Amino acid sequence: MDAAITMDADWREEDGGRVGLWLFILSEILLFGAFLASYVGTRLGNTECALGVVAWPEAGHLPGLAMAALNTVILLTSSYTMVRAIARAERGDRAGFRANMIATIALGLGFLVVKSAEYALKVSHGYYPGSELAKLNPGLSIFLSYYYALTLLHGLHILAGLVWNGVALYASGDAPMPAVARRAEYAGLYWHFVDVAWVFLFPLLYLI
Amino acid sequence: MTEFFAAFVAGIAVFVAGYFGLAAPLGPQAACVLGYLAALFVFLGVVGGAKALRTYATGVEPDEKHGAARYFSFDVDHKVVGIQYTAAALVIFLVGGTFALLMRLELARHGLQFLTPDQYVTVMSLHGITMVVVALIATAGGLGNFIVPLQLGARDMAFPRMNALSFWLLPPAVVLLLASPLLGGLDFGWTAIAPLSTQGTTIGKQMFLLAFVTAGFSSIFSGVNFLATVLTMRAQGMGWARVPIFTWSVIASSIIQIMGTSVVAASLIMVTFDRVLHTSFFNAALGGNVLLYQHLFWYYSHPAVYIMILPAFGAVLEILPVYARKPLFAYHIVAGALITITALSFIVWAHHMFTSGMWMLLKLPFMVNTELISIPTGVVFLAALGTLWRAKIRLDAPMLWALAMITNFLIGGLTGIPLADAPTDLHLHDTWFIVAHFHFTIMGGAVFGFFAGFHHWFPKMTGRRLNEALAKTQCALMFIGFNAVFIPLFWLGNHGMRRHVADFPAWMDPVQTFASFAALLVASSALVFAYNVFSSSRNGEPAGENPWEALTLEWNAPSPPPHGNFKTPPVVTREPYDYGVVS
Repeated sequence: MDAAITMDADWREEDGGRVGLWLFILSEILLFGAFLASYVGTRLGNTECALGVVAWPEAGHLPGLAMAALNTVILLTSSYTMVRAIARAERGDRAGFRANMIATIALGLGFLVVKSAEYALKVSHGYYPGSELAKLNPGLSIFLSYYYALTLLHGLHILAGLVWNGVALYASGDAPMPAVARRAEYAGLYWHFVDVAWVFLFPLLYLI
Repeated sequence: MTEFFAAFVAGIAVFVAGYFGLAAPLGPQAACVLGYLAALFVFLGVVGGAKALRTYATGVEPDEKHGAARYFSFDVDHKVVGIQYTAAALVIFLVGGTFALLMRLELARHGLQFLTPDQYVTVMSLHGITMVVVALIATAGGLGNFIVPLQLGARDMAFPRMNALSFWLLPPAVVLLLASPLLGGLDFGWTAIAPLSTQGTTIGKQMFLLAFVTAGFSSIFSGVNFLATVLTMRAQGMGWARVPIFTWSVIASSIIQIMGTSVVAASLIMVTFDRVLHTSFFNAALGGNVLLYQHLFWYYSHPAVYIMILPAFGAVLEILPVYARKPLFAYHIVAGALITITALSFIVWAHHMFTSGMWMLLKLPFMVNTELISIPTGVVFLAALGTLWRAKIRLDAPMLWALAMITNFLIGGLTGIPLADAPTDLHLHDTWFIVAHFHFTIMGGAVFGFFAGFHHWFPKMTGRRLNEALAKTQCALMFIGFNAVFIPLFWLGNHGMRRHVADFPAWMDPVQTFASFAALLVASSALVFAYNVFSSSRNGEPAGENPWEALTLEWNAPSPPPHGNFKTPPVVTREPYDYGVVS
């Protein structure tokens, strides 16, 4: 069925999937790391510019804090259902895996819905790069630059994670359970990474 | 083949639809970004990505293609991918070389000949970025994909489908780059330096950014694949102290691809956002930081030169013991030196920024760190010389190329020292001295190293030998031509010839004309090479399993290796360079 599972025992091949995924995540950490380091460095370093003092927005000053807090709860819960899905798959419980994976995907979709609402709220108050408000206030403009770049990037990762989870779910129909568990583990690793990224974004973009 | 063209047409159709229709209300910049992303996914899906995803989900393998059609399809065999990479690199090399020739013709005498200054900068930018792509993919991507699994005694790469994906991300990127002159051109060199890249509304600039990010993804996937392959698929008995040095060099470059590429992607995404979404990352008037771009860009782009040069060094170090019939001198230490270069390469980037106005005190650590790299590089050099020391050298074509590479790189390395030193760099920055130094390391080093490896492994890849006389002629033409073009450039640079400009004072004419004529020698060597490859791959002498009497594992497989590479799983019982011990 699956080439990687019916391997010829003489060939010394381990399943490279886990190693490869960790390496890929390392590269993703550097992607988010580059944005976050630039954000922190700019925020600490750029205190004045040609127009005068760069006043960065205060914590909780912008609309949408409550939605972001709700999203944090949603994502952390989805991590929990993901762990359950992997555990069920490893135990050979196909129905349990599917139920938990569906819950994870639903929570991920919920995150995107809340995020879209939050964007709509911010835009309706004029909080977006290039708005009249941002053009008059350098601190707001540069903050919104990082805010939208980081959250859009994270949103795209959520979307990619949802596709990955969807493939794992779709493929679990009649595949042997060890293969299902393996795909669940990989999807889970990536999903947890996307969660952890949010754990860094939330305080840096909403609480300071 | 039909798939390939269908995918291409579909991709372009989606792009045009997005650009003129569906996404047009968002403005040309945003339409171009969205149109490209949609076109990219359609292209990858049609060319074979959709099938590959289905295989992942269902485990059903698609039918295999045969003959030449394999090379135009989403084939997952590492040998096909290796040849695809090599062929693509050579084609792009010809295109980039044509740009170089155009520049050299324009520069043959003072005044403007046939290019406006803007056109010259566009040609220069395209020469730069296409050749960067060549240097990044030729040795590690082309030779590496073919040879590394064979050297490890593996049947394929760890992720064959991802391997095919990393190759197929390249054609859209290259087409996009080559389309940019038709769409307004680009004036920021190959570095897309902000704020030059965030200003101006030509679509050509945006194309460049998207192409760069696409190629970056390809590079990350390829790096992940190589490292996972080396970590999990070495043959029985192949401990770390028995991994061939070429594979070690690919490990080193893969680490840089994984740790660096996403950072430059971040900087290019920021530029795209500045252009499309009106953010102000690099707009000082709105709280941004202009120098940030250079930090992010060079954090990757300095290590990137080691992605180019380390596999070339690996290929040369692999070749020297074979034709010197001696063990590789200090093999363990050389492997360590390659990894040390990798580690140091991440803490030297700001030596590109000595004149940028960054914080003064940063100059000292970056100067010292840069000079530290000369220690492991010197170790690699000593190992090369130690291998040749008192050897009975066979001067076959690959060995000739390897010796030429070492000679060129010596000049490239030594001229790097005044550029690493902040005081002398203030004088030499942005002059042709840097251009000449860079070409001695990347063309003289990475490209000559690639040709050394290409001549060495061509019999394994095709089952036939190249014509020796033609190969040696090409090497001589290229070596003499290359040195004649670039040695005068050191002198011109030191006398104030700045890069990125199409005109210069009349007193430079004799030297400039000389360099332009010498460039024709390099061009003629490319023609000799093209003829040799075409004729030898059809009518060359059959090579047999091991024409060079080498000891690494790839020479145990038939030439060319069949699907699955080895008939039985190889078992490694000795070090890779036991020349004079077992043979």
